[in-house]
Amino acid sequence: MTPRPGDASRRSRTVLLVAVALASADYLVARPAQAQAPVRDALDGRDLFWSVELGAVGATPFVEDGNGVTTRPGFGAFLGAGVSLPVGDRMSLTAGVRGSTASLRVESSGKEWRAGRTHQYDVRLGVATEAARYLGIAASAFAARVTGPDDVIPFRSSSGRIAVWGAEVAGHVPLVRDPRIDLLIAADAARFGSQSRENPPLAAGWVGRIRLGVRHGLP
Amino acid sequence: MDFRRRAGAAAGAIAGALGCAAAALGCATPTVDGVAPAYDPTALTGGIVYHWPLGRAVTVHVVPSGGSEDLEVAVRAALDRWVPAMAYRELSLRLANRAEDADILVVESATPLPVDTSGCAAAGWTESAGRTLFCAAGDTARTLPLLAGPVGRTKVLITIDVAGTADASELLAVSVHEIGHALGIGGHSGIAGDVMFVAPQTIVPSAADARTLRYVLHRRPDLRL
Repeated sequence: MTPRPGDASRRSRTVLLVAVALASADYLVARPAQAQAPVRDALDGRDLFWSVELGAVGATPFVEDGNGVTTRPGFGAFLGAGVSLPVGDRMSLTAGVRGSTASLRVESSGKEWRAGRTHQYDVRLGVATEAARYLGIAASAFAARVTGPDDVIPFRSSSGRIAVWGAEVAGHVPLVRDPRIDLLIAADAARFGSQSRENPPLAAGWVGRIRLGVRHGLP
Repeated sequence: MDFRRRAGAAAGAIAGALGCAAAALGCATPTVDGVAPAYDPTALTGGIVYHWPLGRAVTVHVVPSGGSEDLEVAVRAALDRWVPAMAYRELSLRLANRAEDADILVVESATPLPVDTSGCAAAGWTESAGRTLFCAAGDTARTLPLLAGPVGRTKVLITIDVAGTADASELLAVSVHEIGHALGIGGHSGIAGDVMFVAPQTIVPSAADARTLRYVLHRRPDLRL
């Protein structure tokens, strides 16, 4: 079949549209429904979408010692990347990795001092949905490795590394349309197991984190 | 209908988020039980708790004497042995090359004292081969000025009778014991297996020693070194 004069131009426009959509990782829900339709069509057949996120993180204490000592991470930074696989109308399966770092602070008797740094490396699996036109929500379970100085509880009896698991929820709303950048707020809770080798033993408990940052990518 | 479903999903997710946050903030944080000291760490001070400001580096200088390095070797090892007793980096311990940089001076008892201790009549404890001394001045310990050169910043003086120790192991045991006093343990254990036993025989702080040090370090000091 002989191409008609306008076909090349239309194909170019379609390719350009796809390229722009991928490069900007624009979040379709942020646009009015009619404007989304052509881009959504162009993206049909693409299964995985990526996202990156970075920002600040704060956490609840790692340890509270009955002698009056509290060990907690200071405010830190996180950086993560993820992929999502659409599985239905406005629903996706998500997976990702994330790293965060913060100073480790100890407080006792009215004094506070730094005791090195702590890092957390997460692998997460979950689901994401468009809860409303401008609101994306994700819930995930994660496993993580938390590292810290091996002479400070809770890292002392585990050679500086602790394996934890937990759950998180995150929401994001658009800040900038093109390129698409969202405001991200997330909360997670990680289960720190007991450590019987510590003297006295460390009892298990939960450590919570709040993350505030920006996110770039599809849902 | 679709909007209602989405709104419901949003509400559920937000409730989940809040629940998650509440769980994190309200549920039990990992805890370590508070412990009582294994022995009274203020028995020798009349109930006064003293220690260095937490989180700081405490420097120790061993005054050379007679060309022997035995005392410095023993003190270095003693510092290393106390580090694991601290579970939160309460203090970092290191040797100083110069007396003027030292918070703690260690001298062989036969050596003339390098600092002025006049007015410190009642302070310190004398044991078989070691003695630890500081001078209270209100709620702090006063600096013991160096007799030669700059004033320095020494707060604690340890004297050890190296010749009076039978061997290197006993010298180490005495050094570990006196460093324990210098860190804040103003008492003695009644158990021979503890380095703070009145006549020290072991060279590694026991769990009881560590527990006692941790207890005292996390009390608000009546006297700050």
